Amino acid sequence: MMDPPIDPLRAQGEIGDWQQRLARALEAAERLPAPTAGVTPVDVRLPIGRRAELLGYYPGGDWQGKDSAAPPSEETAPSPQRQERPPVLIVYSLVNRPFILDLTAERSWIRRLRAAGHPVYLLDWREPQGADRFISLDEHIDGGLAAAAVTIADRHDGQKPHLLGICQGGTFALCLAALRPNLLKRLVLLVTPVDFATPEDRLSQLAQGLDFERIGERLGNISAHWLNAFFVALKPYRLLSQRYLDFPELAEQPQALEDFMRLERWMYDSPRQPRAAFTQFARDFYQRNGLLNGTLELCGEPLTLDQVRAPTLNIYAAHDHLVPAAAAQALRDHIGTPHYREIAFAGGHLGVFISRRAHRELLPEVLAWLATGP
Amino acid sequence: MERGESFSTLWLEQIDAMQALSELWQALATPPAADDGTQAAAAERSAAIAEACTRLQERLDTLFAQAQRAATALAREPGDHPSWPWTLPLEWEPLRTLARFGPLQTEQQRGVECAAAAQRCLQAQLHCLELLHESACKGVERLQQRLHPTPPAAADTATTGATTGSATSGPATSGPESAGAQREASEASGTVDTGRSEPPPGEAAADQRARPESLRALYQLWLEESEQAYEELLADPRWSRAFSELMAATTELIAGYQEGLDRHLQALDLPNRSDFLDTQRRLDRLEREQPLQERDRTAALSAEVARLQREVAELRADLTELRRLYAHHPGAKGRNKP
Repeated sequence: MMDPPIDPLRAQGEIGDWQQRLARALEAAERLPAPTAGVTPVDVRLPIGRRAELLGYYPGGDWQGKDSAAPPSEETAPSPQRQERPPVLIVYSLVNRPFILDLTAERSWIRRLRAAGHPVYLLDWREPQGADRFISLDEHIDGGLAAAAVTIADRHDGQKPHLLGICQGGTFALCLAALRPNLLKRLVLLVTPVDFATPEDRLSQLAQGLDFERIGERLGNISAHWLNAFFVALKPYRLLSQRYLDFPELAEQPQALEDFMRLERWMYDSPRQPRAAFTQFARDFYQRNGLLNGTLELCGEPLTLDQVRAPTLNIYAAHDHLVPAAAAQALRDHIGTPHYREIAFAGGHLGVFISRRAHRELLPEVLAWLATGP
Repeated sequence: MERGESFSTLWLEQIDAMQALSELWQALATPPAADDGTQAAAAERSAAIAEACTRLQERLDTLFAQAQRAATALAREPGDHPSWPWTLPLEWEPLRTLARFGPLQTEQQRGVECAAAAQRCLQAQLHCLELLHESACKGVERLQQRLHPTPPAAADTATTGATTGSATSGPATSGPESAGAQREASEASGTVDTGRSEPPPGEAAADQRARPESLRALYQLWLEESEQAYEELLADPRWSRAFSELMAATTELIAGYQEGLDRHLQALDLPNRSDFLDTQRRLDRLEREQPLQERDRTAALSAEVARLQREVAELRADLTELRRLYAHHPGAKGRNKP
């Protein structure tokens, strides 16, 4: 079979075009903001535990923001008591900031849930300070997550919230569902690791030989730069090369360029990891695989997955390089509830939050599942 | 570079790298087979691609060798006796023993330990770099295979990496993960997927070669093959061990610096890490105890209020009873009520 002839001069033109597009894209990007928060205005902020904060978003909200010109009267202002659908509590990972769920108005999980009539509460773990190095995982679960669920129920006439756990936050949500089953209504898990020892799990393989106690003792709260470097090192070719080589393609696409810049900021704007909780998670979950092996103990109680009785929707990404599909699928053989459903999303880890397809196909399924059954 | 400025080594190296890439591009531009069907042109093209890939690998070798030289310049082999006394390295074995003498022995020993930690960290970095270099060379090998697949029988004698010596891999197929990540990145950023064109299944090895028609497509091929080689490295226990050693060595080096800095600050009567940790630990204890104390105080107050309420109720009952008795008392008329 004859190969098509290659024009050597074409390379020169290609490089020239790329440089011109790069210059235009950089010029356009210069004017764009670099936000470190979501796009949806927060209706209420409530302190939780020693460090965390609960951000509330009510249906009919946005009166503080840009969606309407003037604030509503007292009668029409959003309030937690006026809603009919159960509230949703979102718990995100400690590793990144949760505004990925609210990165743009068009692709915001928070807006979609709120638009469906759910008061939405996002648990923000916030940046740990020096003394927070001693806050354990037990305290995050019991003093943070459980306290948030209780606070929400108090504000909604005793109505228990649905719990939406994401990535590491999903693992926390599972722990809460096992330890305090009476605090939640339904459980939705997004890209949540359950089995931390699957063959494809590169994070787990790297974690096995590390002395986390010693690292925590010396580094204190784990630097975000270290952790970012660790994650980037799992996909360096894509994240450090291809991503930026593709960047000039966005020169003539203002919205895509803005999305790129927002995502770029989010990727590297990470909080530090509180030492005690980080060490505990790495040791008990990654090194001992305690959630699956049934050896986990939290808040002074043994914890097994068969204690989880809440109806559960487990969504995983088929091409996830951080939480392999098998790591999430493991839940089906160990969970206690008979009301269990799985959805495989054909994409990667971040695609579940920010891809157009997730918002077109996945979110309606989640909303429908929340609306059914007990 | 400014006009008239002398050529630096770095600039020459960059030109060299571009030259190697240019050679690969030229090799791809060579007509693959003459119209008369002779194999001479195909062989010439294959040799040109192999030569260009070898040049690319040599570039990687050069970079690695530079890093290696920089690291070994700082390190010394065990038993290597330095010239006395000006260039004594702290990790030199007799010096370790000498550090145990005299009034400053604790300080001296700490210095020696810190130097040993730095040395260990350097070695760990070098080992990781060595594995990364191996992976990068493998990526170029795989690229060469994609551009001009070697039939299995000839694979053993085909040109291999300049330094790795590993066997040439067969034509690569990108796994679902990389394809998925690519799709995800494209969808998330709104960019165009410029990925390679998949060879039709079932064709002979010679027809499975990739045919990049642009520099971008050639880059995409390199990226996919290099990433695949990198994936293999990540799955390799050698990498896990090297990474663990790097982390452990870095942690100990940081520990050494922390202790040194702590001592200096202490000598100047300034707060150091130990002092801050002590304060933070006390603060943590207070924050934990405060809610418990408040809870106890609230519980005590509630109990006190309940007791007082009971007492008031009893007093009211007593008062009512007294009033009743007084109302029926014969001498109560004309006197003030209690």
